[in-house]
Amino acid sequence: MMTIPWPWEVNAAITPSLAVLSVGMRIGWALVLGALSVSVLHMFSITARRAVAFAIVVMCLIPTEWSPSWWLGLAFQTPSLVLQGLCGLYLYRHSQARLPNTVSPTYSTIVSAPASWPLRLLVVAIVAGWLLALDTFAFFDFALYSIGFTPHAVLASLFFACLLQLISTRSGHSPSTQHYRDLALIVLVSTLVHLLWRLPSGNVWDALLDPWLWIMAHGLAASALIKKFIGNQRRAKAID
Amino acid sequence: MGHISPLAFRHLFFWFGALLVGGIALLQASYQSETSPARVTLTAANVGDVRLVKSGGGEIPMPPDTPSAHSSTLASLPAQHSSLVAAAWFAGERESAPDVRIAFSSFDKTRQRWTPAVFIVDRHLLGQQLGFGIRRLGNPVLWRDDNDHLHLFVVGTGIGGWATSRIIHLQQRGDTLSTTDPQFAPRAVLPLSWLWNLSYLVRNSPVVLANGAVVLPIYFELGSKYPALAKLDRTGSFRGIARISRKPNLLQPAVLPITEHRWFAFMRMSGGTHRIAMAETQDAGTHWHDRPDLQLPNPNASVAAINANGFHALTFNPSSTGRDQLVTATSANGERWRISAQLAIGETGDEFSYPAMLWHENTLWVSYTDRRRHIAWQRFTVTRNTP
Repeated sequence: MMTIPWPWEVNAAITPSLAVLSVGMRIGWALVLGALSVSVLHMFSITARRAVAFAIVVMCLIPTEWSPSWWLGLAFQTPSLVLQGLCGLYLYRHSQARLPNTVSPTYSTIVSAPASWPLRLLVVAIVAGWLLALDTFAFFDFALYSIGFTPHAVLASLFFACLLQLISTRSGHSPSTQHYRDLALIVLVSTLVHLLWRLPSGNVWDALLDPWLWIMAHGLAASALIKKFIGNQRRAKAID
Repeated sequence: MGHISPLAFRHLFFWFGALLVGGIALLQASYQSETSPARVTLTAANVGDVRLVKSGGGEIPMPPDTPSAHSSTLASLPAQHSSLVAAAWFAGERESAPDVRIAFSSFDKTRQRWTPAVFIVDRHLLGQQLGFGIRRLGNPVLWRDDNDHLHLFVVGTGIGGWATSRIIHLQQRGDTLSTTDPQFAPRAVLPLSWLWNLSYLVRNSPVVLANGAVVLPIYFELGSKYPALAKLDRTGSFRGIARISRKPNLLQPAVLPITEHRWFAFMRMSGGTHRIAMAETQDAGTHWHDRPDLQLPNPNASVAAINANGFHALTFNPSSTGRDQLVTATSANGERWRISAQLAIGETGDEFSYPAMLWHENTLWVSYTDRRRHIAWQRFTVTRNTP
């Protein structure tokens, strides 16, 4: 009888098995495309949004050439576990919302985040992504990506989750508390999933950040800075 | 009894989870520490220079109705096998054509000729097995592990050309002594780059370490081109990567062990001095440094290198402009080379390229692309000129 080594044994594979990878890829794209469809179709009724999201999720989960996962996997492999977690949380909150069949301010406050993402979190994602992107092109003497295969990188990921949790505890009732708390849990669960099944690739950096999430962080940071700039301009005019 | 708020419960849940994750991660860290440093086993001492005497050669048969072939690889087969040597290459209408598949043949011991070629990897079937699409196939590399299973590494492209490639690892299934139609199934997609795992390719054979593990020469080629190594354990499980050089125009490394820990890497140069580039490691592939280019020319073409139990062989195109000649040089120290065999001489514009070499049963086997029409092979016995 074949025995499968525990994840911490010395002969355990550090990459996911092909079956786990295949299922993980489909679930990942189902969550991402499901959340994207709900977000993009905000002008439609809640019933229509849920129906479209459900259809997209089902299509992503089917293992055929007709599945979006087949083509997205070809181009981009598997989304990071953190992106999957954020999309999953978005879908969960959307499904929990009790709404009239119309768009209302109440709905948007329930489903969307209570405030925009803290700029310092976005900067962390942007800087980490730039380091990994430059490392891909051999910009540094050291190989950053290969460190992501070591257990030390997993401990660093755990430390990051704990740090986020501590910040959320200390920030009390500030608007960004919810984001820190959500992200702490998502990073922790992502680290656990990575430890147990080695998803998405065997490298913990791939579990925490992927190029799409990195690009999104740029967009959100730019949007936050523009809002801040416009706000400052208005305040300056009001004082004048 | 005090009442626990949902928020306090969530905090407790988080810290319990963190303890769990930390415990598993610490267990991994303690178990997966490096047990023994990597090294190769060299079974013969340096015996000086050698002379190559041709003992066979010709064409490896192509699969029916297949006009183009390129990028062959060789591997030895087990002693109880009916064939001596296996060869694989990519074949189809042309390079990067949608119908390109990986072809396979083996050299029959009794008949002293190659078996009819069969296709062993098809991109459509491979995509179904992987769960995502593969646009094109190329550059197969064979390796036989110490359980006599053949492993096959192939390049599969994503959306785009070769720069969007990934390396897919397949392993032989079922009867490992099947000569005519070995079955391969995908095992992993090697995780090599953060950028959607894009743009790593494989070309040359792995170096087998003393503990049965291997280092597989690979290279990145999206914009910047640089060589690296993928490390795999004796079962073929991926264990990590190491970069050979940061120079932006080197690709298709061929690794040549000189001693147990001191290895050279010879690389194709895209532009630059049009010579074969060289790097060296003193710690069996962990750290590398660039060496001055060899005095041998390189027309932006793949080279192959091998340590054949004491002497070193290097097959390359001896020109800085074209691939119309192919030679094998030998060396006692891996630094000064002497041409020992002329494998092919063609007319201007002809292509003899992408060599592969294998040392098996005291014979040097060489295969190479012959004008993109088929794969040619030659076999040499070795006369040693003891210094």
